[in-house]
Amino acid sequence: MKNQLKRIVCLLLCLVMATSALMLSGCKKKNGEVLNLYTWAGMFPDEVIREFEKETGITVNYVNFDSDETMLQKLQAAGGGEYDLIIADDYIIEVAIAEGLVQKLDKSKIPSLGNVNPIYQGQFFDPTDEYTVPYGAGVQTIVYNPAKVDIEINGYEDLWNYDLEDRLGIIDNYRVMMGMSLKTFGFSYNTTDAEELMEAGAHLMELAPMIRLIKNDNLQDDLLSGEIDAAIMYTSQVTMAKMADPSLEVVFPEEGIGFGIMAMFVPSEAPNSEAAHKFIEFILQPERSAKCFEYLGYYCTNSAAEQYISEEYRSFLTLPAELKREDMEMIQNVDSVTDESHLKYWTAFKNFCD
Amino acid sequence: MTDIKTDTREELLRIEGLKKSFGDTGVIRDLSFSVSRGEFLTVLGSSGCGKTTLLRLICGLEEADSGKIILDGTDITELEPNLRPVNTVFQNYALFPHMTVFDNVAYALKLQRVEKSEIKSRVSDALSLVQMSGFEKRYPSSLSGGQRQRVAIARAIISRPTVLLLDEPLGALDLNLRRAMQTELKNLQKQLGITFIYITHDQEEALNMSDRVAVMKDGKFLQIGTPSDIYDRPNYAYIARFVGEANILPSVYEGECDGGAVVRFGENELKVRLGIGSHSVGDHVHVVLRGEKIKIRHTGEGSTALVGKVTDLNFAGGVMRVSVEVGGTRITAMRYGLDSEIAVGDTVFLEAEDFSGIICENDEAAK
Amino acid sequence: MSKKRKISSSLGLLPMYLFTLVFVLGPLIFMIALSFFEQDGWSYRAVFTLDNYKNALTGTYLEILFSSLRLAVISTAAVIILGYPFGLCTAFLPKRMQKFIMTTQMIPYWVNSLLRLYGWIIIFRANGLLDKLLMWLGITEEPLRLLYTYPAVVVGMIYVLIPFMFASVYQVAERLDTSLIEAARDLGASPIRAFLSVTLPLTLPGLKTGIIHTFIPSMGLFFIADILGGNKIVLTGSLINDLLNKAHDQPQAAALASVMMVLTAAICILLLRRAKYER
Repeated sequence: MKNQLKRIVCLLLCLVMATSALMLSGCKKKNGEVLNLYTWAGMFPDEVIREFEKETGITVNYVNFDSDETMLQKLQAAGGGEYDLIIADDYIIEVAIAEGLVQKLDKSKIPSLGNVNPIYQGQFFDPTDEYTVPYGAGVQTIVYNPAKVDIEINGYEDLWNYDLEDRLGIIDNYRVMMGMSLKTFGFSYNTTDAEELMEAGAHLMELAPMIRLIKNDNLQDDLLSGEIDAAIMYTSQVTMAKMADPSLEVVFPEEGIGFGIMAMFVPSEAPNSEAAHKFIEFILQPERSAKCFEYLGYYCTNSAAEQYISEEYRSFLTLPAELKREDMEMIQNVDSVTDESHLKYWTAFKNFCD
Repeated sequence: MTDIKTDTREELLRIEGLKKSFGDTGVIRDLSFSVSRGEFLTVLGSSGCGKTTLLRLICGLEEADSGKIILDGTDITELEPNLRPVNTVFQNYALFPHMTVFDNVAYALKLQRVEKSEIKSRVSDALSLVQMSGFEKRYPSSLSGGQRQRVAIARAIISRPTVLLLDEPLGALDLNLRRAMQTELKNLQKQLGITFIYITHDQEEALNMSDRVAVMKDGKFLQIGTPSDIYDRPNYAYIARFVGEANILPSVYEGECDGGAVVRFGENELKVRLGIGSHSVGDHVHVVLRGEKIKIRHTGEGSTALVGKVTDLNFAGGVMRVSVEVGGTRITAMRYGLDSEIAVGDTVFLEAEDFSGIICENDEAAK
Repeated sequence: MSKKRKISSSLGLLPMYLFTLVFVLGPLIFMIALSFFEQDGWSYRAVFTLDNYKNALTGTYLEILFSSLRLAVISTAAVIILGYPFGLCTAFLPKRMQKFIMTTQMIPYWVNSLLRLYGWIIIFRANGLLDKLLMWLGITEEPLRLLYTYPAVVVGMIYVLIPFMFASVYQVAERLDTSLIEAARDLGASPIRAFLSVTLPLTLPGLKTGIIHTFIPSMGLFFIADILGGNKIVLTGSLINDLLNKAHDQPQAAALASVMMVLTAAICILLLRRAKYER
């Protein structure tokens, strides 16, 4: 009798698990119109999302990914469908467009397109601006604590200084860091010249003694806690650091600025591209846009919104007026041989650090 | 109270006032005795009497709370076990499973850094002594119980210890093997001349092999003596019960007589030997009478015969145990051979020669 | 067994066989095959090449392999030195204490290992708990720079790996027959000799198992090196991770993984050769 009872309970449990699994997978289907928004977490303030939902009656299904590669894999698996609006990094969008997973925008539905800062348009991944609308830019800057650092830092080369021994933190991004080394020679971020790469790699090795930390997540915490005194970080991290400690100095390197763009695009088989276009238009409204960038911590790509960015944010969310397009270069995809070289030098560099 | 009967041989080991407690429980309580060189001494007792602890104190695996252990004139009480010339044969043999028989036996010699060639010859000598020649390359796991036990003995004797301690080594063997091993051990001891201290709860073993037997109870020796001392002249009723078939007759002391004393048991007057205690007329005493000294008759001739009814017949091998009820006391007599003449319920007459019985003390007095 | 029972028991095992074949053996074979192919953009080309192995066994990649081995060896050695006595001694403690120690060893494992490593960061970082304690005690005046160093990584490795060594050694030590040690002492062995001739050989299987359970994972615990070492200590594991997720060079990653697999297998075989008496 006891054994029978056990069996029945087991079967029931299995049944319950199976049905709940089925139910959960079907959970996404909601009543009414839905916008499937696929991007990193923390890209929009909650109030902006609620506003959109209230104004348009469309429910926003905010799905997260934590790396561009994951996004691409998912998009490929979905054959360009399942999601309505995706925001991702420039280099991955180039691949997505090349694979036919992105549809051309219906500009008639986005009258506010003119708000976009032209310096961020016509870039390598979408030269004719047919597929994307920029949303936030990352600009490579150096951040340091003037109370602890005595030397003058105006550019990348200044970091190669034993005064900073074991006090520098950098992100774990080999294109950015190799790029920094390339820039000290005046080379392009995207060079394929083996000699140039070798020089940059060798020079990078010389930075090893200065490196205390290589980390992608929350590098700003280490700067704020005093673990490191200078850093090369992602733009949002710079924002957070500055907000916590306004005394920190942000430097636009004199060798030239590297930047990357995040952009919105509509997948080729988006179930609700109408809603996607509505959202893009919604986000481009100047005041709202300013709020978004203040929240996001990345550079404001909306010129019309710049006036609405508060004073305290302005120095690190908008570019200095002197900066021209020629001074800025984007990090683009390179061929696999060059990419491999980058990785090799970077690996050797990391290995050399201790 | 203990009767220390020393041998005429020289004293080798002397224990003085040994005390050991575990927590609140006193396990060895003020024990003193001595052992002669070349003697085979058995400590006989039931489990929990402290005999294993005594052994461990002698070989050094336990430290005494107080008292002295003097071996060959040297005080070894504080000495580490590995420095004492005392070796032990453990109850579970404790052979090293990761070593061959050869390495097991050679262990002590290797520790002493004896030369390889000498080790080889001594090991083969030791193994042939215990009849285990040829087993050098085998591992303990492939040996039977009896074989392992022999290897354990070889291992313990090879370094020529002054004293060999044996902790119930035959306990795990079957009866026939045990009997054979008893003889072997006794012969081995005579051959080697090593002093053996053997502990067991098996009285047959004790009486069979030993020069002297010490009966142990509650951490003290109740009596030390030769096997016949223990058997024929037990000091206490407890000892008598422990060893052999003992009939305890509660009697009343009536007075001394030539060769012993007179007691009254029920309606009979018996002439018995005196024990170690002194008594006054009217005292209640215990008389111990061995079963094999009682003759069973179907007719009562002398008035000295005890009359009773047969209650039980127990046939064990060649011996018939006849239990007879005499005035409330159960007396067991032994008859040899199958006897169809006696049946349960028969009235029989029990006779024993004068001075067969002996007065024993109650062991409560020993405390 | 009767034929019917044999068939039904094999049928019972069939799903497991299939599962192992498809989900374990299959990907393994695919990975090995992949290591001989060429990279093609973000994917691969089914063209045979030995370049991946050439890269893997020369220059920087080889250095990193040695670096990973070095860390694994140092961590394992540290774990042996700390874990073996710990496991051994615990077996000789009173039963209640043993249970207590076992429990305290187990509980941290109910918490995600990543979270526990972050706990170490809180302790180690500049002006973290350790610094505060040392400065409060007056031993140091300025914050020590303990985090993001090689020693910090080794501490993290030890912390994560020691329970495996402890468990393996304890398990074997607990079953050790103490009368064997007593016999050795009785026959003339000093405590050290008794340990060397009895305890050590008999607990060696536990030590060996412990080493396997320590060394092999230590080759792959690159997240510890990343978190506590500030990503400055590059292990083959993190390299494979980078190759797959950043450079998208699957064949090269597969080659490195295969090399690690062969290395690990070789060590296993060496350590698993059993002593005669264990048979």
